[in-house]
Amino acid sequence: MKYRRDILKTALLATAALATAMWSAGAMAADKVKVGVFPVSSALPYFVAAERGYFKEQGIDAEMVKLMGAPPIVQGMLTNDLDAGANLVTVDGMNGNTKKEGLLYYMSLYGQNKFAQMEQFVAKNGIDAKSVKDLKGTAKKIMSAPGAGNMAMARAVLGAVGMKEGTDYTLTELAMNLHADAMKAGTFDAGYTLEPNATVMNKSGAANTVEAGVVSKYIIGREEAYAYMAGGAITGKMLRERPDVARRFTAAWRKALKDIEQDPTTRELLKGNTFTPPELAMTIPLPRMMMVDQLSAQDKKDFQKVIDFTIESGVIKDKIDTSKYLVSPDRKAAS
Amino acid sequence: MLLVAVWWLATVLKVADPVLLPPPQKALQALIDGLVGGPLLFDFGQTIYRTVLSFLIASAIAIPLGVMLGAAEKLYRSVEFVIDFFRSTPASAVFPLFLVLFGVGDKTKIAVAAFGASLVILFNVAYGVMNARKTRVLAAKVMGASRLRVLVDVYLWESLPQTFIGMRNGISLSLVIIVVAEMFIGSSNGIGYRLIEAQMLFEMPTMYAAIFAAGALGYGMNWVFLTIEKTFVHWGGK
Repeated sequence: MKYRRDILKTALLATAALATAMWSAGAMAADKVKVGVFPVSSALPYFVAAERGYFKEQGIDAEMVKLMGAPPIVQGMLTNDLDAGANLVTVDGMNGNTKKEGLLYYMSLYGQNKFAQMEQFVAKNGIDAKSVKDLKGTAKKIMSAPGAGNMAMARAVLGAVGMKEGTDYTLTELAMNLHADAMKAGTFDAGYTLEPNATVMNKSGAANTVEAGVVSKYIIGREEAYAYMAGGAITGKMLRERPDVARRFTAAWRKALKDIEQDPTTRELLKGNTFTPPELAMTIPLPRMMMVDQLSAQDKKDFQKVIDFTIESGVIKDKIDTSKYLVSPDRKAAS
Repeated sequence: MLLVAVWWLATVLKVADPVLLPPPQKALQALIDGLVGGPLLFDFGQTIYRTVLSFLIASAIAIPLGVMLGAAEKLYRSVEFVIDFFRSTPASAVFPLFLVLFGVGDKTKIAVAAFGASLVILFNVAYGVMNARKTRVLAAKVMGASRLRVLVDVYLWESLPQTFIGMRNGISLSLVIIVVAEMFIGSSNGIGYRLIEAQMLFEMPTMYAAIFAAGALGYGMNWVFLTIEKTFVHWGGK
């Protein structure tokens, strides 16, 4: 009888020990966050946070899902396959929010202008253009970065200097990987392109930059303004259902952005992780990366202006108040 | 109809997010709106123009070449590997090569589609000639017909049923290549362009409308060829 009681006691103790071990293992397990990453230079915050252990120290198990462009990231958020996006184009993100209210929120925005160069017009050798207006009469065949947003921006900039589509120029949408080859082959006279293509073209002699930061100058109306064209985003689902995970994920992101601002060696992480040619990693222009609570009131107005422009040009179908979609879960809500 | 019913049921049961899978009536409405006063009609026309042009180029090259190679079987066998190799190569894999040769724009799209279609037509025409009934060829020769006369009056007619099969496959392949090219290499119009743009902007009813349009176009082209085939090569297989 005593023997049987001892066995029972041992079994109970073993079960309790196992349960305790499982509970503590569960408590220790990091929270999974799936991050959509388009492996270009603006994805740098993800690689800094991951490689320098900032996610880990916040108890976040970040899993990278490499995707080609912004629309697949929005789609991944719609199907609940992603919790965040490292570098989601704001036009696509806001368009996603017009399709499904509260789909995603930006915790950081990346601004570009002539100092933090990203979008720019380039011209083939032989065209001596100092600004976009010099393309009038000299550039007939023009290529553009792909996507309705980019095409609308290119048209608006050319329109602002008095060039009429069909009469003064034709605009062809072209995949980014073909830009350098197309300019080198002389297929186009000029092009609206993005980094790192512009740097590659300038270095290889395929084309020369005519003017960078054209969205700030011609669409926002101030050269020094930042055009916030991409940013780090989290889903509304994570924000609502796992607010503490969203808070810790954002804290890690903030730390990565601070490193990028203060420590140029973070650029080393562009090598191998992104499409940036390794030899250009240390010199290629990067956008100004800001957490949304660091943005000034003017920055937010400028951001709204860019999105309003895409609404006016029919890219986004419905009006949207962008301020509703800027959040800082690790701080107070950005106002 | 069954597919539409399953689709409708899936939207009612919310199998997928309604943004990604709208009800079929919304897609139908987008199709009607796109065709009546919308951009889809123009895109439809552009895709037909590119497909038909590439198909005509392919036929003009492949039919005479196929007859000649088929009539000289030894010559055909010597180049068979090259034909089969390129016929088996996915057309999308040769996009970069054609982009280098023809640049971006319509030329590349039409050239790749013509290249893909011509190999299919050539292969079918050559086999049509090689499989010409020996008795008919022999009868012509016995009656003293010249080599040219045998080629034109016997081989060409004998190969026509197989040629039409090749042309029917060729135009379907041309359409596939043109739509893929419109989607992924520089374009400003066409069904493929409309489809990828709608997908990128999450205009899902428009995307499904473009898929419908592409499907209807493919079916329509196949039907036209079947009708021509039944009317003009009614002796096929007899």
